[in-house]
Amino acid sequence: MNKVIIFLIFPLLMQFVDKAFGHVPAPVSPKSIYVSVSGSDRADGSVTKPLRTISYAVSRAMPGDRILVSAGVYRESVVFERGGSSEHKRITLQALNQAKVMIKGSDRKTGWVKDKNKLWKCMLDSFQTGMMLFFNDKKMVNVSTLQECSNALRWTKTMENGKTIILANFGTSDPNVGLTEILVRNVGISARSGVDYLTIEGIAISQIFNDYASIYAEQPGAIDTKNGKYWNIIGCSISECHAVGISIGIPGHVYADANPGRPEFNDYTDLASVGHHKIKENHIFNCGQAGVFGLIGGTSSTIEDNLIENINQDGGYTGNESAGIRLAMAVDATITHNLIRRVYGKNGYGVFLGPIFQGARLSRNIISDSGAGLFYLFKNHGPVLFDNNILAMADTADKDMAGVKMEASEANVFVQNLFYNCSFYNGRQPGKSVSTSNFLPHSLVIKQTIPALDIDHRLYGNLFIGKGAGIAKPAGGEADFNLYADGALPLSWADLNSSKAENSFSFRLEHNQKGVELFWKKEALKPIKIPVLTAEFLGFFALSKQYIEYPDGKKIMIDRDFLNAVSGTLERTPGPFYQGKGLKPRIKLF
Amino acid sequence: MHSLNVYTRLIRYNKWMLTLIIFFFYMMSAYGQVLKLEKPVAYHPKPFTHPGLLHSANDLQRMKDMVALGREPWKSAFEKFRSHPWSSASREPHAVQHVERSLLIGAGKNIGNLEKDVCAAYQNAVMWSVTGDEAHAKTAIKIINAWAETFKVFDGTDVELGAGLNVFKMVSAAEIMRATYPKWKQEDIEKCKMMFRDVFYPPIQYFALWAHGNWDLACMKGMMAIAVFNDDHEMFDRAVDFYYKGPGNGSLLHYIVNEEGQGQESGRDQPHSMLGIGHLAEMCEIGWNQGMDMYSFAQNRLLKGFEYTARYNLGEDVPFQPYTDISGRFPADKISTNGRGKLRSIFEQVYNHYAFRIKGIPADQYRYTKQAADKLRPEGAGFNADNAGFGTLFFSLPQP
Repeated sequence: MNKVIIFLIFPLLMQFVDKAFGHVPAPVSPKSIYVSVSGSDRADGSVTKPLRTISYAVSRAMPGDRILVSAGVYRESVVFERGGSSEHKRITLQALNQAKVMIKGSDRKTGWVKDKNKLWKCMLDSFQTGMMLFFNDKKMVNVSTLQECSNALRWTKTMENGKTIILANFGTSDPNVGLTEILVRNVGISARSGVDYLTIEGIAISQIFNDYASIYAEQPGAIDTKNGKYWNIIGCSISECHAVGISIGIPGHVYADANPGRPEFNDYTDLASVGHHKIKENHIFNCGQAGVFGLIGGTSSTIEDNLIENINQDGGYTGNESAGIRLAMAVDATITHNLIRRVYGKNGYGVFLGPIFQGARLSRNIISDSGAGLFYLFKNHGPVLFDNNILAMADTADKDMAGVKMEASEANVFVQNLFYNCSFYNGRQPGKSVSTSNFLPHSLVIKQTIPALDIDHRLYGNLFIGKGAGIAKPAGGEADFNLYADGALPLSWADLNSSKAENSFSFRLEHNQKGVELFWKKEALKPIKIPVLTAEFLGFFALSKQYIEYPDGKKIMIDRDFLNAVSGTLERTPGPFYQGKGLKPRIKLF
Repeated sequence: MHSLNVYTRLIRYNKWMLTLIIFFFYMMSAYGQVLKLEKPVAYHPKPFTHPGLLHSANDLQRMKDMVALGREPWKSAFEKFRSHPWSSASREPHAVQHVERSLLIGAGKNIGNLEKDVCAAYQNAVMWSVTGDEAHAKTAIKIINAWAETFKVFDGTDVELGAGLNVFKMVSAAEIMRATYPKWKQEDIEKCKMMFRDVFYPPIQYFALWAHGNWDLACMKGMMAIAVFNDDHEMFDRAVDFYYKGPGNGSLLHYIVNEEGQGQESGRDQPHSMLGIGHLAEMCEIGWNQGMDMYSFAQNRLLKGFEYTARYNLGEDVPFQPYTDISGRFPADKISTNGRGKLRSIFEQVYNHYAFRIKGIPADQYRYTKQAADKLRPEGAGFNADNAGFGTLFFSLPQP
């Protein structure tokens, strides 16, 4: 135990000593700072004399500097005290030459002694409530009673005299020989509040015991931007976290006295001073609540090419804010080409947005197998564009469950998507206040705070397989030029120029370890005449005073498909693939 | 006399067609809040008549003559008008660069300055017309020029309302002054037009489809007024088109929601109900002065709205049909007693139109409007910048 404590406090002690005795070298920027598990925090951080801890490297980094980390496991929490000063003077934390760098929130635990009934016992000196155990990289199941520990990889705990006694079943293995890890840290990479312009690239983070997040409270994440903006989180792996993988949230609060003169979320007024993150090509998996989560940090942020899977896989989270991506106050967020699959739990969604995501665009995402539905869109005045997404409900999903749930969410524009067994719910929010704000376009300047309704949706050029949207006509709603197949029914109040496929698509998604492919009988595709889907065609959304627009205010014309092919003709197949019958029967989506 | 367009001819002469058109409008107004910003049909042949907002040249002359002759009710009405503080020639402008009208607590800038100044400009313009006292002309021009020179930004959560209401009064002043006071320099007139187009018009250009109808209406009447002053026919058509078939609560059939005359805001409160029908009437008056009959649309639906509102505020019961407005945000299941009985100065205009200007409307069809006008006479100010007010002076017509 003493060794563990010494191991833990050594880096901190070294920092103190260095600072106290003036060992921090004068900043010469930009520079590279090297870190290695074989290094020393008394070294100079050069390529030949690397530092030992990332934390110490971070404390020395100045704007423009690059921290290059060699392969290895780093059992520490990395907290940036300062960030970059601009887009061109970022502080970058990066795996050296794509080395396998892992920051773990766990410590190795030895000192287990045999107890009765095949159990092993160990004692922690402190009182610990939340805890997770891993054995040889497998998460052990926490149970309530000793009796439930009869199976391997289960454990329970008791408290005695302020100490925590752990009793665990490792099967036939010896926990002192195998790798037994206890999660002791609640953050992997974070920063002091308000640190901007950081780049985190190619780092793996695992086994973080963070608390659950709420839009109306704290929002801890394994990577946590902590009120900073302009973070780039690229090519990282975040796994085995208790709650949220990447948090781009600012701690929220309940607006108990909200009224039109003092509406919810009125604390954020300057779009340039929030969000603007880029979250790209990360693999987020086995996290207990959400992949990406955050209040306000989604504003003007880009979330693209991420694989987010196995969220809340053991059902431990029972709240109502679980999703692959969960954002609120995400004005002008761009969510593109993410594969989100297997979000478990009766409240688990692929993407859960709201309140407020005016001007967001969700494009080319593939979302499947979520416990509660694929999109949950809550309390927003719009407009929001959903184009070229492929949304597939599991064949085993409750037949009455909507794949797209819109609650007090106005002006959602669905164009060229593929919906498989995915019906819609479109409603208000009975019995609750639904007033929320909209903003002047591409800003956080509150324009109006009024009830959000269930109106003004658009459904153009989509392919529905298995189920149609199945919603009553929303006020101001329009739907047309869609293709329906395999029992999906057109909308009785619209769809004058839509069509029904004569043959079955036999659609299915086939998932592999890092991606997904689409299989279908492309012969079922049926080209129809579809107007050019310009912003003008989709309409001017008068409340928000904007068309469907890019964050810079330019109008969006939807003239590209999932595969980035350009629409060359008015006659084409509805859905996210223009090429129609020229397509392959098997399409790699991610 | 009035060059009615094809549209209004259809309404006047073909009831079957009228029913069809009304049904079509209801179907077309899909109750959403998405605009297809297409060029509206032309409602008005070029050119506009000036002055041609609430007061034609004949109207101004009538006021002047009647006051000079000491005839009632103009005499008493003018005394009330002249004694109002905003009719004083000593008013100094309080022009600023930025005005914000906002509902947010702690927000809002200079809106009071603007409201008082536009009312003063308008009332001084009328004072100049009626009295010939150049001091009033100078005050009106001084206020308008000061704002045209200074005012650059109008914003806030309620900017549509603020811009619509205030520009209407400022344009009303400018329209009178341009037509009656040659000393107003052309370069200043051009600056004024620019202010209307570049500062006031942008906030109102898309109306306010999410709001109670008086918001749309403020935008509509402001737009119509700017259009006449700036000789912008497309802008004029846009406002008039919204009166007939706009998708918001402010179009006539969405604001006076049934044949009984119930208002979209009747279930909200009575002051806003009177504000809204007052706006509608002001649009109709501009239309009339430009040769169009908007009063008679949908079998005089406007009058039905006035009768319903006057009757309830005079103390009688009226039928109320539970109603959810076009935006879907303001359901009402009973008429509101809030503000009941506090009549606003909007009734003389409509009463005089139906009683003395057009023929063939039986007196019982405007009896409550008449009673309200009788009760208020002479009408006073129009509640800040809300309505024109002073209807007894402005709109009383000689009885045959």
